[in-house]
Amino acid sequence: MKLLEVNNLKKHFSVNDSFLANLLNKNSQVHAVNGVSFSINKGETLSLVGESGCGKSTIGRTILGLYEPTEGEISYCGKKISQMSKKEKFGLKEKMQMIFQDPFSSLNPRQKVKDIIQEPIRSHNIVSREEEKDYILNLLDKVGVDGSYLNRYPHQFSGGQRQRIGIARSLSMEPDFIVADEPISALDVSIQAQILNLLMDLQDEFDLTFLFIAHDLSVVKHISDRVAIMYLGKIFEIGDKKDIFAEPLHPYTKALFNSIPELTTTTKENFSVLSGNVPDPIQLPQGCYFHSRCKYAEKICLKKEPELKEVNGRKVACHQL
Amino acid sequence: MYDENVETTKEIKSSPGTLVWRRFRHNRMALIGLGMLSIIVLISILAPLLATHDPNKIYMDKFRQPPNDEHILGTDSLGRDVWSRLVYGSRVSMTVGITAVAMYLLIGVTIGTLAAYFGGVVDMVLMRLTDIVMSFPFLLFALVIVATLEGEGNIWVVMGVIGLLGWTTNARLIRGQILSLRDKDYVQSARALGASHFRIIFKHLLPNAMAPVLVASTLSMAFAIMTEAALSFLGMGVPPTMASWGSMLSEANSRLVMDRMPWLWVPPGIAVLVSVLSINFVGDGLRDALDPKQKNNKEV
Repeated sequence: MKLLEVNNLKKHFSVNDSFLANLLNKNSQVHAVNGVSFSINKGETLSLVGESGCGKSTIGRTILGLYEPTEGEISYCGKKISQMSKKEKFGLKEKMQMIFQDPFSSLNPRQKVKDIIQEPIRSHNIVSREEEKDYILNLLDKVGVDGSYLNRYPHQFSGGQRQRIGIARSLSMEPDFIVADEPISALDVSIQAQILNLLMDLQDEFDLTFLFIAHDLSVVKHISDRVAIMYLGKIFEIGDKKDIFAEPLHPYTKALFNSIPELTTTTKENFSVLSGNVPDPIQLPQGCYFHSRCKYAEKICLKKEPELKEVNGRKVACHQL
Repeated sequence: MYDENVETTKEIKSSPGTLVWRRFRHNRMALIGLGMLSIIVLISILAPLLATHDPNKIYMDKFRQPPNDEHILGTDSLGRDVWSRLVYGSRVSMTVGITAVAMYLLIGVTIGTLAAYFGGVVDMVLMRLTDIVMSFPFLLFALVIVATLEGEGNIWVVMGVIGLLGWTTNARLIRGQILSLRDKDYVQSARALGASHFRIIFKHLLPNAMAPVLVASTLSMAFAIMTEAALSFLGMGVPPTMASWGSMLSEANSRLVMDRMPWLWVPPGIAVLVSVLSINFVGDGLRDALDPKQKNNKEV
């Protein structure tokens, strides 16, 4: 069953929104997301992978309604979000939640742990006032934070604990779908595994669906069911984790996998780094966005943008396949 | 496995407020400032007890008497007791200072918050308004308004004018703060949780944006006190009968008083100096305590 469907989503940001720039028609746009379509089934984890600035986080935040999409449709349980009433949208917030990357900026420094978790419970009337305390303690217990810390402030916790509190806040609304925006990349390596396992345990327990945003491929391999590789606001390859990790097809996916250093005796030879830089997202390149860095690029790649097409049980956007 | 829930700190009270006070307490100048300021506030409250005479009573036989047993700071050109007028004058200064700061906060925070939070046209209009008010030559404009409203001698008009012209710094400060906080993850998270604009502004933005605004407000309180003194000195402030440090200072506009009768202008001068100085010390201390990242601040 399709829980979430994203159809041809585009999101552009104005760079220079000043009065004068508008007057002189010099208002340029950053093309963060350029026509992305995918769907997520209930209970599965889809990972969005790509280098920084490729629009992963923008997709996550647009789905949650933090940004208005420039173009395209997002549907939840088959219903288009743009056609929902204000009340329905408010109700939808209970269903879709977010876990943030930086645990140091995701908690209000002036709220106690209790208030941080209480706020959404009260505004959405999740439980009655009498049950509230037990509910919060139960949540904290689920994410592995001691219940005696209720009256502490965020600055008294370590990064890992803060992230657990952030997760408890998201879970307080009993959501079905969670956008996890690089939830472990800001944490110590020793804590990363704990949080990752916590997320997977919670997924089993509450039957959660994840959109997992990441750039660390080993993490992605651990947690996802399906993977989407993004570049400059486009999906280049999307399919089952097993297929893609077994045999990456798109030249960019291959380059990404080759860029993982491995510990061997001949360390220097076993990984390569892509040359060149990501093109300017203000002035998008013609044809395939990857042609400037692709070693297989041909004439057609410079002119025509490749569509996503079925190859070996997954979808790839490349003229060479 | 390493357990991150180990107890690391002793169970001490450490709300943001307590932490600020703990840092403030270690700043000696700020403590002295706070002490002086409290004394001045106390004096203004207890004025009727501290004054030895009625501040407005004219002793016909005693013009410009130097300090003596009966009038400890002497008498002024109209034969009024200088000490009593000094004590009552603190009431004017404190009222003006507090009212002005309240107005700065109210107007400045409202305009700055609305501009930053809603952005776009709202921001444009409100900030241009701020720019316009900012470009008024302050003292001159204050004089003109007081004169056109025929408010000479009306302390409320004076306070209103000072308050209406001085909020611009606060507006700009709070706008900058809110702009930088608006995209913080905890604000995004509140939006994702469906919090209303009202809730986001009052629960998540303002409490975290107030620190530099509070500092600026203390400093502008000093400015308001000096402006009142200046207006009263020019005869546009409080009514001539009412005791105010500024109007007492205006006695010194004759050479004779300057040279020969220091008891008429030195005490109110020192009073203005001390109150402005101690407010500034408190402001500096607050700034250091609220923003521990700024240097010159040993870890406490």
